[in-house]
Amino acid sequence: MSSLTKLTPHLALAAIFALASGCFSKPKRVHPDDLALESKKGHKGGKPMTMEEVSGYPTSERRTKRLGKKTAPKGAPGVKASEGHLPSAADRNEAWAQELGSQAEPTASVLLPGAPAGTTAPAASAATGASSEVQMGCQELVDKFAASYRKLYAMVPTGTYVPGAAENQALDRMLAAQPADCADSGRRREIVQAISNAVGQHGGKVGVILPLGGNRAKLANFIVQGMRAALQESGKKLEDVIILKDSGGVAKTAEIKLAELVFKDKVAMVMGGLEKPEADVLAAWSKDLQIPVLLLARDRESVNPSPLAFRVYPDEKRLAETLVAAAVKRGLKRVAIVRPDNHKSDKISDYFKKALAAQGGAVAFDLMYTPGNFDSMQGVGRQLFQTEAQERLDEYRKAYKKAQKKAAEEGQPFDPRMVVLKPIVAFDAAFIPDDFRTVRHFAKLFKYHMVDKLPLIGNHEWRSPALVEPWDEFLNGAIFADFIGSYGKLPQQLATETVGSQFFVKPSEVVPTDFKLIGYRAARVLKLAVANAAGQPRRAVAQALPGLASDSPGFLGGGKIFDEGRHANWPTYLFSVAKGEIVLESENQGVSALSANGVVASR
Amino acid sequence: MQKRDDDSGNERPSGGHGGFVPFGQKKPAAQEPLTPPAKTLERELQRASNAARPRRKASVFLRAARMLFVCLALAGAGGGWLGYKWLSELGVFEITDAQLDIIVQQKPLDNSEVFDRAGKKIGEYFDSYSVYVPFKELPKDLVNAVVAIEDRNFWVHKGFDPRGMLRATVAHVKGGIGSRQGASTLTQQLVRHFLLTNERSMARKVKEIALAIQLEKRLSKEKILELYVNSMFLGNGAYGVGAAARRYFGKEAQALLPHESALIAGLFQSPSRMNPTRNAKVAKSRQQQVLKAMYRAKFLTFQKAKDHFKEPLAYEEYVPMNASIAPYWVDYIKEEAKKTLAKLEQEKKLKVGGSGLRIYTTLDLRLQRLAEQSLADSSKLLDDARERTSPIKGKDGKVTQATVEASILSVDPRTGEILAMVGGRDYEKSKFNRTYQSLRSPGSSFKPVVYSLALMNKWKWSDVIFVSPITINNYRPHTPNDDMLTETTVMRSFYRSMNTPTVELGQKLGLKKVMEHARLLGIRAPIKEEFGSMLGSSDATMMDMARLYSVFANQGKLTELVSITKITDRAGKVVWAAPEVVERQKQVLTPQIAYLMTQGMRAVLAMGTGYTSAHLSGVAAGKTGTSNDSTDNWFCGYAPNLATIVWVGTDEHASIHGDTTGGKLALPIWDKFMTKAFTEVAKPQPFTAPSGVVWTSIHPKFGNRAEGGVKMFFLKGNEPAADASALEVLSQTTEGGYRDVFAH
Repeated sequence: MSSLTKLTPHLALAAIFALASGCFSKPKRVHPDDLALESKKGHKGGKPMTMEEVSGYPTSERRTKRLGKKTAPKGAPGVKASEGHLPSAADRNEAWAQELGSQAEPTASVLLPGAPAGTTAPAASAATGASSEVQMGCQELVDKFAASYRKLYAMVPTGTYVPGAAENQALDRMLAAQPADCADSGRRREIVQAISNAVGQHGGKVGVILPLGGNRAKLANFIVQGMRAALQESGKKLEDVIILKDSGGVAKTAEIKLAELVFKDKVAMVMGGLEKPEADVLAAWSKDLQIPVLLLARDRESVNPSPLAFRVYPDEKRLAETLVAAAVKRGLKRVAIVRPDNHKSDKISDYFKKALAAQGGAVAFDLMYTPGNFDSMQGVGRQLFQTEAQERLDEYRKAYKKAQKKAAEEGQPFDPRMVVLKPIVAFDAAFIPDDFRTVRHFAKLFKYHMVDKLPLIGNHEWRSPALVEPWDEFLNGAIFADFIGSYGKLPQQLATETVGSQFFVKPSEVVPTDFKLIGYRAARVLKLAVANAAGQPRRAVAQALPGLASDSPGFLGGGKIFDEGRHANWPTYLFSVAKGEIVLESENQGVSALSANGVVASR
Repeated sequence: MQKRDDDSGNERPSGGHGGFVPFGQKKPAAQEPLTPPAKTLERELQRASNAARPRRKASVFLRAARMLFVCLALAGAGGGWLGYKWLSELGVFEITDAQLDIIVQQKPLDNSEVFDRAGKKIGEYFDSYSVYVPFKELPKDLVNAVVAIEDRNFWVHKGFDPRGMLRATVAHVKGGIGSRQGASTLTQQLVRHFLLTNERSMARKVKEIALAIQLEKRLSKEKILELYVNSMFLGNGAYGVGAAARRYFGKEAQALLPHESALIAGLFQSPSRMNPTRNAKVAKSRQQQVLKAMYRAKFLTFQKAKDHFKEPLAYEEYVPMNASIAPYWVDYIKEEAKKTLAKLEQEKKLKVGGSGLRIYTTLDLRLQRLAEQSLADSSKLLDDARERTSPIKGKDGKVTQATVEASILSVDPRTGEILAMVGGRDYEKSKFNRTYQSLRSPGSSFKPVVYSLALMNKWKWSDVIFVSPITINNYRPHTPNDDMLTETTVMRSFYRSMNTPTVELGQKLGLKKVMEHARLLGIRAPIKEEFGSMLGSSDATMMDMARLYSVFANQGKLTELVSITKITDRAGKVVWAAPEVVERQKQVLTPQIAYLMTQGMRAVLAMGTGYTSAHLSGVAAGKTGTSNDSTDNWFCGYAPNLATIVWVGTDEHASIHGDTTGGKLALPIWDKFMTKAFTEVAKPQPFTAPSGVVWTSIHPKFGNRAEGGVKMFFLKGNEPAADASALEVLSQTTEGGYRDVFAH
């Protein structure tokens, strides 16, 4: 706090120059007027610098050209100075600052979630939600970043990172920086500069951390295949753009791989988070390290910890909203939710409930069953249709006696299981967020309870020819939503043989296609992000992401790729079941199709 | 025909009218040893020799003649007119041919005989046990023995033997009560046997004589003798010498030895008392009397008679054939023969029993033995099951455990010929033939009806069914919970005998169509129009099931079952012959569908409810059946040349608890039988695939082509194309997650 209060326009200006070091492997030429403008801004406005501003490459390039000075690395713990390499960014920054004669205390900007622009770090860190920039002084930068990087550095495998190497100078200095050093005004600038350089430094590649080994290795590899397909579209090899790391599905390993990517590979951004613990780890480090991450995470909340975290993944909320819109349109406002007693349906059920409530509907039942357990599913049937409700005890007794008498008259053995009361159906439809197999069994169970007709609503797991083969009339009129429309419209690189209709592929290709598409879309986003931020510091990449626009009309909504919540506009598709067939009823292309109240409008 | 009263006490006095016992001499003691000492034997024959002297004979005759003369003189003097009138009233002067027609036109009683397919006699039918032996086939010794002991002057008198009568009268007068001798000739006895009663009166006697005289005019002596020896009751249930020869000596009359003939000839007088099986000593004594008579009548030399006296009599215990070889079959054939004859206009008068028919049947005695043995070897299995039956109330009101019964029926599917039939575990205890008299619930053994209809209606073995509880018109078939919420191919549902998929199939096919199809395939028992019938709740006979399964075994041809190949008369003239096989066959399924069903039923043995007999799946096919509460337990299985149905249950329809199924109770018996039959009698023939059938390896649950799956057969062009199934993919995901992008 004390350091923040010391921020002055002079210091900020100094920081601009100090941090304008060349950290990028592929420098981009910038017009000298732009540089002049940048420097003027800093002086004139006296406003704190953003990270983008402080770590902009053009400045450092110019400085390098002008000075052409060689300096030895110093300060990095255990780092031995190396000779004969190009001047480091820190050297350049320092020289630049000296040239300007500025003595102002340097600062750096960071993005924190939920804090309004210009707030101080502690205040910002307490907030959540949308991110904003905050300014930090030397002390705090050391506390926040140097400490974080040191923490991550501790995870770098031995031999992976070579202290003292030319490309590691900025990192070396940051790692060596101590809070006490900020007391020394002479070193203060150097420290801020070093941190800025280190944080913004990247080699233009993207690190991808996936569980390439472990339980979900298959899925991760499908994602990789999708990514490779996306990059091939633009004639690039995966290895040209991406550095793959295997987390093994273990969060700790993911952190180690992240450390490698940051310290050794100096990636521009990181992608990963297929497993929730990994997503949590990456989001947390994203904030601490100021590294943009693209999460392949189910949870929408996974992006919350870091303003630099974005998400490219099918979206349950959108699926739920699509379903609710379609249900309400059909007049199905009282819905029973029948879901498996596992976490896979929790989210979509919650979103469904909220969306239904928003549409004036209500959930009549929210019942769970143990998947595959007949008794459990039968129990759900009894509850749904109130066949064993306490209030119907007398009715049951009468039916029981009647059946008993009838059996005796016919000379047949009496089987109490044959006594089933007529159902009471106190809702309009049943939402079953489970696979097609379970839905088919439920359809039969409902018929067993003498329910002749009940509209059913489902999710993407319903999509299979087996939903309608052999055909069960009970499913007529059912609807479900999916995050893939026609398989015939998949990108060429992902094209797979359709079976029967454009809505089905070989069963063995269904899951691969899902994950390949995730990989494909994520890779295209990566490609766009990196392309747009070429020559920019990492933070620039992050800052470009919210405004990232689709490069083709059909891709992730066609407009802005991310919505305000930093979730990619993954489209949803509404299917209906009729006369033994599954047909695509409507399609939306993402956020553009959202109605004013956030509910997807079906066409 | 009248049965001769063998125990009524109206027997003729011993000694007959042979008259060889001299006056004043005692009759042989009843307790005389069977073979008298040599000296005694000499004495006996010496006495017989003395009795044969004309001197003695003349003396008796003169005395009798004098008495007769006195009587006649008195009668003639006292009441000539009255006598005439009395005789007129008796009808003596009005005897017509018609009265004698009963004898003259007498069709000889003759047992009908039953033969197995190899021509071995296995049973006989009779109202009274008769084996007709024509005169020319009668052994000479037997004829002589009968004549010697019963009517020594038979060949010379005209139906009435005054001398014999007089001799009897004299004996009567001299001996008083208890010394009566028979005075009737064979002809008289024959007349009395057929036309008169045993009333002891003068009037009857006179009429008897008159009729005998008339009969002698119409029939030859040989014919009269033939009728006589074939008609008379000779004890032990036998009528006539042929029957007696079988019953006492276990041989045909033609094969009787002289001393055996003598014994049989002795039986005419008092068959019950002389019955050697009851009273061997008396019979032996009587035989000796006959031998003496034969000697006296010069039918035997002294030495021969002496030898026969000593000859031991080797009786053979009579074992009723019908109850020993294939009793249920013999009973069944009797009914079948009756039905068959009843259909024949010209043969309606023929009775199965006693008409001398020769009934040739399809029974294979080797298989019959194996079937009986299989049941016998399964006693422990069945007795253990008895322990698990629900208690029932006996006729005496006591609670008891019902006997677990079992029956086997085996047929040749190619011809419909019934090869083996065991109607129950013990014929002596229960003659109820469960193979055709019992209507029982076939349970799942009815399912081939449903599935074959499904295959005819474009369903295929690989089609998938979701197994969940179902209700149709408040009918809720039971399927074990383990099967619930699973998926199955139609074939797997068949070989695992799942209920709800079957009912579901049946529902889609239509109840009425299934019932029609069942009738088409040979079920003759009425089928209830209810969905439970799909699972075999409607009763059927084992015959029904044999017809049904033979259709699958015989490439879709329904063949009427046949048990009798032909019926001839005694002379071999064919009375009825079974229609040729082609005339009894009808193509009710295509060979292709039949073959698909066969493959489904091979899977039952290989991996289904019949897996305990998997060793037979290479050569046989079949289906288990278990009705509610295991009251009926079936296994119906076949090879192309042998179809066998086994049923196990109780006659009281008692539940059998525990792990009781057709696979556990009936299949082991079927297995025992078929294994032995295949090894010892009917080497199994291979099932031949008809054209237009192909096979592929299919995932048994999900119906897609899969390496290492189940071999399923399809009509060509109807085989599944999919080499993967979403269900299979789903089953391989952890926690059942599918497209599990949101599962983590």
